[in-house]
Amino acid sequence: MIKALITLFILYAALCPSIRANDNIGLAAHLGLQYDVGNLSSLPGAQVSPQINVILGARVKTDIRFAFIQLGLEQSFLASEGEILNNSYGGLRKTSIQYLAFPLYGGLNFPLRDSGKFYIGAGGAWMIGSGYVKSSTAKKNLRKIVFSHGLTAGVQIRLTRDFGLYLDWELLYGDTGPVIDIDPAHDWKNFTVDYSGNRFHCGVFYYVK
Amino acid sequence: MSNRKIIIAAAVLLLLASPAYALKTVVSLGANLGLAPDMGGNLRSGFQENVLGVSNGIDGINRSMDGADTEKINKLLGACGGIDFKVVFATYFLFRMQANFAMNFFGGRGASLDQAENELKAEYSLWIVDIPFMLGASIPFGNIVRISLCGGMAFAYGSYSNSFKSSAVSGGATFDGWTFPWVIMLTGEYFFREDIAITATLGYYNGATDTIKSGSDYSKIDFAGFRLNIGFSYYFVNIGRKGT
Repeated sequence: MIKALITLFILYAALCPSIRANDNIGLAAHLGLQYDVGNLSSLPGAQVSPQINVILGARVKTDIRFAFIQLGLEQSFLASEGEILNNSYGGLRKTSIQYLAFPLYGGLNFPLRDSGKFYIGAGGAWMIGSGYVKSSTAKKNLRKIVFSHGLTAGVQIRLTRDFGLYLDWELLYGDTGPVIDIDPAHDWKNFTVDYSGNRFHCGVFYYVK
Repeated sequence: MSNRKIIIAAAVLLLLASPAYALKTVVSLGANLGLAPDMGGNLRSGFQENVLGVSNGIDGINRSMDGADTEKINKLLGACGGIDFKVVFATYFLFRMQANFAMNFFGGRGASLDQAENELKAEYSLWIVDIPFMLGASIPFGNIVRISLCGGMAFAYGSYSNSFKSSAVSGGATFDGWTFPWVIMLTGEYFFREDIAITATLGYYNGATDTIKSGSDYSKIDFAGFRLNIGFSYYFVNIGRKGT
C-alpha cells in the first residue's frame, strides 16, 4: 500500500511541471454521495433497495494554464444497505460495501471569466474495497484492491481571494472479480462486487497559491 | 419510433440549421481523441444465457474456484476519435455534426468457468462508427472560453464479436447492426488564438439495436455510454479572443 501511495505521489509530482505565476494550487475537502452502490439495480430481474454511500474526501489540485491535475483521498461510508427484495439473483441477499480511494485525474480547465472554472478530465483511482456481501448461505467480508478508471466534470466557483466552492461529478469503473458463491448448484465464486458508478461531490476549495 | 421517422427528424434538424447562414455565423472543423469506458454495456447474448448460464453478459461471466486457472475478464474500455463540424450562429446557438470511430483496446479477454466447471476462454470485442447531428447552445465566457451543450441523434453502426471455448462447449458470433441513439454533449473550448481552440467534450449516447440474429445466437448492440474526448477546433471566422 505504501509503495502504491508513493507511486501515486511521484506520478503527481512528475505530472506537475514548473508552476507559473498565474497558475493555482489548491487544497479541497468535500462531501459526496453515491447512489446504487454495487449497481444492484442492473442485475437481471432484481427488485432492489439500492445501497447508498456518503463520501468524505480531500484533494490537492494544481492548475497549469488550461490544464489541471488533481490527487485525492476518499472514504465512503454506508448510509443504507443494498438488498435484493425479490430474491431473484441467485442467493444474493445484501450488500454493504465501502472503499478507501486515491483518485488521480487530469484534464482541461475552462475559466468562467474571473468567477471560477469549468473542468473536464479523465483518470482513475486505486481503491481498497471493504464491507461485506451476504448470500442466503454465507457472508463474505471484503478486503480487495481495485484499480478503476473514470471521468470527471465539475464547476469551481471562486468566492473570495482564498476560498471557493466546487461541485463535481465522477464516474468510475472498477470491480473486484468474483468474491462469493451465489449459485447453490456450484462451488465457484460467481458474484463480482462492482464499485462502478456515479459520484457527486460538493466541497470547499482553499487556494494555496 | 420507426427508423424512417428518425431519418426525417435528422433531415429536419439539418434544414433548421441551414438558415443559420443568414445570421452571423462562424464555422469550425475539429478533431479529437478520447476514451469510451464500459463500451457495449453488458454484451449479453443468447449463447451466454442458454449455454453458460450467464444472464448479464460480461457483468456476470467471471467465475473462479480453487484449483481452476481463471483470469478476470474486464469490461471493455474503448479508445475513440473523430472529426467534428460546428456552426455557431447568432452568437449563442450551435449546430454540430461529427464522424466518430470507437473500439475496445482493454478488457474483454480472460478465462472463466463453464457450467461443468471446466476452464472457459472468453473474448469480447466491439467497434462502432457513429455520425451524430446535434443542436444546442454555445455560451461565451469572455473571449477565451466557450461552453456548449447540445443534443440530437446519431446514426450508429456497430460490430460486436464474442467467443467462448472450453473442453465441453464452444461458441461465438459476430453481430452487426445499426440504429439511431440519442446523444448529448457538453463541450469546453479554450481559445489559444482567435481561431484555434483546445476542446474537451463529455458525451453520452443512449440506444441499442433491435435483437440481431447470427447463426443460432442472438444479441443486441448497445451504444449507451459516456465518452470523453480532447481535441482542437479551427474556426474559419474568428470567434475567440478578439472575435465575436
